[in-house]
Amino acid sequence: MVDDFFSIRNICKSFAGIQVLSNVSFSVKEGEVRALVGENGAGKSTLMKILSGVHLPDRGEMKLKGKDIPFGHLLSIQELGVSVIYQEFSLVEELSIAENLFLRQASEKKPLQFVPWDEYNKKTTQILEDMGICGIDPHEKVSQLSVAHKQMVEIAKALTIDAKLIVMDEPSATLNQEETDHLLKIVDELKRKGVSIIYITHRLEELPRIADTVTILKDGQVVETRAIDTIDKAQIISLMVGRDVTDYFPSRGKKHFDKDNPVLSVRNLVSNCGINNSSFELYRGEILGIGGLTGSGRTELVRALCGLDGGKSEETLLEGKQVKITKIKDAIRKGIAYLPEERKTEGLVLSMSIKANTSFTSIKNFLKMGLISRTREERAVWDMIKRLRIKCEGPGQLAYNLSGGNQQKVVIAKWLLNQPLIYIMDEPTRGIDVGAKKEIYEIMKQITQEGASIIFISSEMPELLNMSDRILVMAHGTLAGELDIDEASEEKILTMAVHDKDYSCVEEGGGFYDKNVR
Amino acid sequence: MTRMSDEITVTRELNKNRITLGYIIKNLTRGVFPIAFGFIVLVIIAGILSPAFFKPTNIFNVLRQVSINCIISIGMTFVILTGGIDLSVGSVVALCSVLVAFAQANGLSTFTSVMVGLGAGMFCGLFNGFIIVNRKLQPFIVTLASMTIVRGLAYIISGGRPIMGITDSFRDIAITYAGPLPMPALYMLILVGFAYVVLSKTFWGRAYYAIGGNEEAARLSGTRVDMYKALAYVLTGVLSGFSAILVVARVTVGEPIIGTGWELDAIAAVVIGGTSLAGGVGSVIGTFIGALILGVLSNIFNLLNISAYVQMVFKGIIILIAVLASTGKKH
Repeated sequence: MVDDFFSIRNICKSFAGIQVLSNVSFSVKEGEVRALVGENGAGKSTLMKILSGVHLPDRGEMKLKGKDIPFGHLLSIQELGVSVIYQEFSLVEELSIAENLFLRQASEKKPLQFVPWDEYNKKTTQILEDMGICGIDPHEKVSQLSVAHKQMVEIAKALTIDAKLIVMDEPSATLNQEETDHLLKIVDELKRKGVSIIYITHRLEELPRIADTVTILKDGQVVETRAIDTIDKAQIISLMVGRDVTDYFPSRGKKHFDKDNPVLSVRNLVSNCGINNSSFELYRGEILGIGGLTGSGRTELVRALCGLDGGKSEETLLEGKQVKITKIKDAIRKGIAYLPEERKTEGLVLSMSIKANTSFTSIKNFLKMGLISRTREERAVWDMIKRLRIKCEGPGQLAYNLSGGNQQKVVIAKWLLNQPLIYIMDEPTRGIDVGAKKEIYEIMKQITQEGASIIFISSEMPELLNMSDRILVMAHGTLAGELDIDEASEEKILTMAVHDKDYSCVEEGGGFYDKNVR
Repeated sequence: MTRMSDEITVTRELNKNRITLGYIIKNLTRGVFPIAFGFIVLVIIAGILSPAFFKPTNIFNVLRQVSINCIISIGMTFVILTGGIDLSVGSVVALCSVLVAFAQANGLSTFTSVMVGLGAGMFCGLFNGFIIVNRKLQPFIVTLASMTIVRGLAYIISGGRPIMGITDSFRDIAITYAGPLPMPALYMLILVGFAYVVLSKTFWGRAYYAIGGNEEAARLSGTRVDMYKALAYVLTGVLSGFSAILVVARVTVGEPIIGTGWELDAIAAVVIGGTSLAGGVGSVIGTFIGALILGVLSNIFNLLNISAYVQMVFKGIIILIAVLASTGKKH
């Protein structure tokens, strides 16, 4: 055990009497990539916050190169070379890339001491180039960057302090396939330089490509640590959820849709956010997948459909009847539910209770003499909590305190109560754990069985291919093609998504695939 | 069968959340409970310091004194819940008082005069709300501007002088009693009750919490965000107009200097009451208690003959304590 670079022993932590972590121990060797997996609520985030010094453990010890490191000191941990990259970035949006990278160094200068920004800018370019990111101006404001680039800046920040151990919390959650590829390459590169990495992820298919070992956490305990080549995905999943998950995607069977009477038919949809002349149909009971690269306009397409960003169409037929949707309220009234990509900033009001969030769009059903009836409302919300198996204390709990998967379920519950005809789900499973994902797939299946239809945007190919009945591929703000599920494959979708004429335009959209696809 | 058992669990869970002793204890640290507790402590201290405090006449006196600030604060609660602020309320009171007094002096009926006051307040609120919503400007800046504009108008219209000539029937609005309760206090209680019902029992109320908590999510859920936001300023304007009517009826003049600094009292009451300046969290009952705390504080200082300057210092300290207590909870 002497050669353990970093280790933790018997970490215990409880919040308000609830044991979140009990006797968690593991160690990481120099240059080892350790994947840390587990369902939401398994304690990954808490563990990470203990490592970075945000929380103090009740018990336990942490060692770096055999020396004890104290808990609860954010800065001293950084000085020792431990860097933690959170899922929610800790970048200052209004500062430039270089300013962000060297914020710490700059703030350590004495007041009135000159800060060598020229040098920092050069170093920034150097670091980014080492990571394989070229052509980025270090003066650029972070707020102007794509999510993928922000992620890279976070990693670059860790490099400026010569981090020996980097902890990454779901770094690939918000990236598409190409960007993820690039990220994994960078991780590989870091590993070769002897940096140890603790890599928290929900995307199990990444593990064989980057991890050396995997530690599985369940209910605050380490259930298994194994070398990655001695365990397969199914085993990991069953260890994570504590049971065998055989049919990961629910079987929906081959469906025959009434193609003469589409639920929705849109002709020449346009919007101010770059959607031009998109036409498509949606059939009753269908899941229509929308694939494409980040920045290809998938989200913008559905937003335009809902009348957002000045979206309008030449003709929109809903159940054969012509409708005009110029604002989101029209869409909702006509039975279209939009579950946005960013559940925290767009889908939920985190400061409100589960109850208030869930009943928000259907509150009219719970009125008694014009006033909200607490009993009726709570009954409906309890029904939803039971039906969707939302893990919570009750309807009064704030949405803020829920895990990602459960927050997503609240968003779904909100629209289920409204009984729409069409659900638009934009990345409904992003950043949530395997168990909750599977439950969301089941809910999607139920929704279609009840006769409603789903427009399903996803960056994860397996779920897109397994859940959809038909797939539309977006590129450059327009529909690049349509694939029936029988003929669809990852390659075909990708080819359609990138085959295009104007390459430079896509690059601005914020991907890294130029290096990987070409 | 499962349906049945589900039904039973749901009912059981529903009963669990009925208001029982356990429920109250569990919620002691939440919502308005801490502030209510603080208020009770203050009242007890007041009673110990001055035996005169608990005399019914004094209690009703306090209620009357807080009523005007409290009525304005009700509107301010709506505004602050949306994450906004209204600095113009004091000036609006001044302008409305001048206009109401003018109406009275020119022989208009009591009813018409009241309508003039409410109408002028509503107009000011519309002006604020429209600019904030339509031009997407910061409420702080917009109402800072209108605060100056409206106060200036009050001076121009009145010529800087108090306007007299208030009729007895108009005075009755504020100086009569309902049983032992002064009328302004009764208006206050009715308005607090009304605002409470709106905020906790109607979709309107939900909309305000949602807009303050996450405007974009509220919009994407189909809420008419702009309308509700503007409405909060209109409501505040109307309530400021109503306060002006009560003031004029009591002091029998309309004056452009009335209401100086009242916006700060209103904001103080709202903040002490636990409503977050960031929006989305708070309650009108909290505001009511906040206004009462300020009222009891100044009352006890008056009973003990302590100077108004010391009062100011204490008022500031109370605001700080309230804010510290409410941010302390979050961590």
